[in-house]
Amino acid sequence: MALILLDALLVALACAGASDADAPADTLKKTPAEASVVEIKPEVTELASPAGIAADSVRFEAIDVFLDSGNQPLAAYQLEVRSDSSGFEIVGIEGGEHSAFRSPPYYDLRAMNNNRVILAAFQTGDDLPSGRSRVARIHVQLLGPGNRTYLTSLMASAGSDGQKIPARLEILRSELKKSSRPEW
Amino acid sequence: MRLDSEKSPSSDLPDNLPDDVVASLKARYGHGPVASPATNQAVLADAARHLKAACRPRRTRSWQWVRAGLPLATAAGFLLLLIRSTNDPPQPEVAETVFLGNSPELTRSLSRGGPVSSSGDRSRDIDRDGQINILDAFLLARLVVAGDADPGSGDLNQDGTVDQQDIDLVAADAVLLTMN
Repeated sequence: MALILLDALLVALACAGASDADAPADTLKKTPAEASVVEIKPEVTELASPAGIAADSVRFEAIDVFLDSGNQPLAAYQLEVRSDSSGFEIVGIEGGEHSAFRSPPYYDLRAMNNNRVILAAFQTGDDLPSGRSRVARIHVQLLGPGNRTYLTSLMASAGSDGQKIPARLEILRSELKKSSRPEW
Repeated sequence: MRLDSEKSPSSDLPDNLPDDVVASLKARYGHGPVASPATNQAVLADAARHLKAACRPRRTRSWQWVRAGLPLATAAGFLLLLIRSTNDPPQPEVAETVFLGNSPELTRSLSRGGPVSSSGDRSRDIDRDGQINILDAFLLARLVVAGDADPGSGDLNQDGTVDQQDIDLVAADAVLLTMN
């Protein structure tokens, strides 16, 4: 009896797998985004750490993400921030300083406790930032001393009409005021 | 216990032993305790019953087949699954959860193969430039705000309306991380 039940279980598993394999072939192909993704060379930024950090100490820092769209209003952006440095984890995402991007941007929650995040936001209103503006803040956990190297890529930026506009991406270690509280 | 039918120890003695040694050995070991025939019969009957019980099959033979076949069947199952997994094409990585930007309360779970999975769904490439990024969500949002959204192409979750939830689906796709 036990053997029969086991065989039935195995057949059921095989059939479940077969139904996946029967999916249309085009769903198994590369996505359009993967097929035509544009290689964006990331910029490298090294942020200094304070001196006198013990090897086993854990500390938290905030990384400010700035976009400078010059004299054109910025309505949408998508960017990636990554660090391959050891002892680095993303632990929080905060919105920017301008009202258009004050809410936290879109991001994949798997970025938490990871070393990479893609941030994106847009604003359909008329009140848009131009020039240099902090669009997001990334809270990170750092283990041990040493400077951290960040790789940043601006994947998209657009004006209010949806047309792409140039912008410059910059990250800086945040100088948090004691009274400031993050907007989660 | 020595049975009557057994040979006496003296019968095993070599022939070339001196007579006095043989006599001494016989005097010392030549006669032991002797059981009566009734006792011997009782012992033999008891031993026969014991041997019969020991030789009887304990369980049905089918259970032995199960014991022998279970490891084989399990091994065959694992082998089947292993072959299937090595033959399957790699599936796109799908996030379990995505923070849906401006509406934290809308943060939801995404499941593989579900309606909001990152399956490379071309319907989410709103501007048809071959990429799914925030500009697709932005375009859909502008269409919704302007009242020009086409339910035929913009109703991604197929709930009958083109609204913030459809925009969130596109934006969620745009920020998905692929994990190594």
